Amino acid sequence: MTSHANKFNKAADAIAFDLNHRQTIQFNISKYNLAVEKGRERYYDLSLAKTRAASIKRYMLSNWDTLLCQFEENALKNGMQVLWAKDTQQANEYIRQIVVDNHAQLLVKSKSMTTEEIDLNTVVEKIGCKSVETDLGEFIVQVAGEKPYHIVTPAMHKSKADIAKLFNKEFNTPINSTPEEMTDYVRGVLRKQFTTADIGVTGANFLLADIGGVAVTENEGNALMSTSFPKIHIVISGIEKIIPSMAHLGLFWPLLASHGTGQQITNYNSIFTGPRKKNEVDGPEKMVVILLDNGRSELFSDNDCYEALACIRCGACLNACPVYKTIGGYTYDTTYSGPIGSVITPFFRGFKDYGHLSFASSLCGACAEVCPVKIPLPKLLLQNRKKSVEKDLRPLTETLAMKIFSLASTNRIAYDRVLPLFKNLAFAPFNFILWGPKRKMPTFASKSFSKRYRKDKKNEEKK
Amino acid sequence: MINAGSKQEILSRIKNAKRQEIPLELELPDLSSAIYKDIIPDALACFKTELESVAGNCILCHSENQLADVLREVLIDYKGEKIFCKDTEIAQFLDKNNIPFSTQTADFNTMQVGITACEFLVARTGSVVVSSHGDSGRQMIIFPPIHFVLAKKNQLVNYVEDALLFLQKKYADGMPSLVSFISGPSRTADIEKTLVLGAHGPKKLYVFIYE
Repeated sequence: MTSHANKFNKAADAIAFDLNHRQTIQFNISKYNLAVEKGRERYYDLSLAKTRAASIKRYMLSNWDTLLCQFEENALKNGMQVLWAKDTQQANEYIRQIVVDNHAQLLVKSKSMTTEEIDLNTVVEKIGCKSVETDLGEFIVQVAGEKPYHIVTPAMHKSKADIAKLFNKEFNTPINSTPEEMTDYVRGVLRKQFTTADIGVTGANFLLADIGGVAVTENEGNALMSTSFPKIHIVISGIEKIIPSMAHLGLFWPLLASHGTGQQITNYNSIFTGPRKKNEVDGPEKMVVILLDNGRSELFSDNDCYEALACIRCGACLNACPVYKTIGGYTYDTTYSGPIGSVITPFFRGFKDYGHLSFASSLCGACAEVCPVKIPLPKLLLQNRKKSVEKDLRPLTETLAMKIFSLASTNRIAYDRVLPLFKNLAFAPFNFILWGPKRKMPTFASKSFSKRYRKDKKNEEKK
Repeated sequence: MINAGSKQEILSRIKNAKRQEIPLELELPDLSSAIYKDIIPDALACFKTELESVAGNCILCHSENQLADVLREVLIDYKGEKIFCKDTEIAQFLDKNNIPFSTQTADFNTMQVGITACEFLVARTGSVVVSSHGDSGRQMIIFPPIHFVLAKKNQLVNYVEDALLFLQKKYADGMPSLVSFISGPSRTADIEKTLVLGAHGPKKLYVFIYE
């Protein structure tokens, strides 16, 4: 087993029975569930909306290169600069260059998982430019020196008391501060940063091919603040975020909101089509869009998992997943966690180190059920498992156990010949090691089903 | 920053993906049926209900005169330098009706109320569509602690799709650099999913609709 898989198992073991963690996550997700239920009711036909979205995203995938070129062409016409980054290193090289060229001292960042993927904060700070997270959840984890716990709700693992304690330690705010007071405190601190920053960075929820636009969805207003004051706006977007037309936002905005937070529509849905225009009174002088590949085109060449590129990062599969709810976001040790993270991360960072994630699923199917773009996640997890086995990446004990089991169980007569008592004895060590001491494996019955069936049938015939 | 190489590399990897043809959805989804609920009883009432459900305020006025009266009343607690307006047309209206306000840059940072116009209102979602086009620009959309939006009844459209279509028609020669759909005051639920109004943008949003 690789060190990553070992670490994963240890972390999962530890946190699965951490009752504080469990309570916080259950509380937060129950609130999410309530909101989502309300959000679903806002639709006349949610299932049709999902079918349409799924279809548009599949259309996007079959015309991916054409749409990307169309986006670039229109974005350039709009006065944006478009940079293609094949990997993290290249994306960071672009950003470093922009920071250096513009002598930037302060960068404000609105919430974006893509910037987490490339670890932008570290890169920028290394060259002396301060990088400030402005989304409240991201701000909290940045202050705590942590990474986002959840792709939509970064500080989901913290209770309000945890955060009040953290703020008290770092900013000397009252130890019993309410969420309102803490939000207001951060608002005050960050307003000064927004208005004096040199660069504003956002992600993109959708790239609009037909108008060369970038759509950003948010609730707090930090993305709008980040793009209204600084003189440079940098967008970092995965190349799979593209959709054919601006008109499709009428479908995708409410769908993202209802699945991400349960709102009918997110508070601010903005479309950026460039830097400040000649007839406009304010806005950035420069807008740069970095199109990040970083394994996505690799994922595209996979016959099964390419569909994961339809993802709109709503986070619904995380909240629905019993494994995520038990082991939490950090155990995955990836940028993207939960079912979708388990599918795509092995392609981004290698099956050797991250293949084990696809095994961390009960394949219950809840993720596929809630997915707004109909990604068949359990099927893709299974395909990934198959790849791990074929690549010979599974632990030796498991491989052996599976071989013995397949030998024993594929021969009915031989299988029946072994007494149940011996079967139970033979399986006990595997159950203990692989299934874990905290779970109870059902035991073999004293008489197997086939034996009972045959006997009953005989009795039946006698009558 | 030359990136021609990367672009070609990425695009050719997509083109050459060693995968069978993507099974396009066998049948195109039904594109004509409604997915959102109807607008009832009418667009104006629907907008008001939706905006209020996300903690926004909607005030209906029958005439410009009534609008002036209402504004005077709600602004009575704010001193003139606390009210900021960059929009020439609205400024004239405020002047005409003796409602004090400031246009001085020095007052920008300390303003309490910012008044702007808008592009459209969306009935189904209670959204206000604003853009960087016009005198107010980007900052006035998001910076004021309290945001007042003045809109005419004929700016009201039914669904988000309609607003997007109208925007493209209105700006056929090129969209404003920023268009935003605002649905209520700025908010966050990042601490224990507890809703707090006024995260980074306005803490209150008032939409005045007049005929």
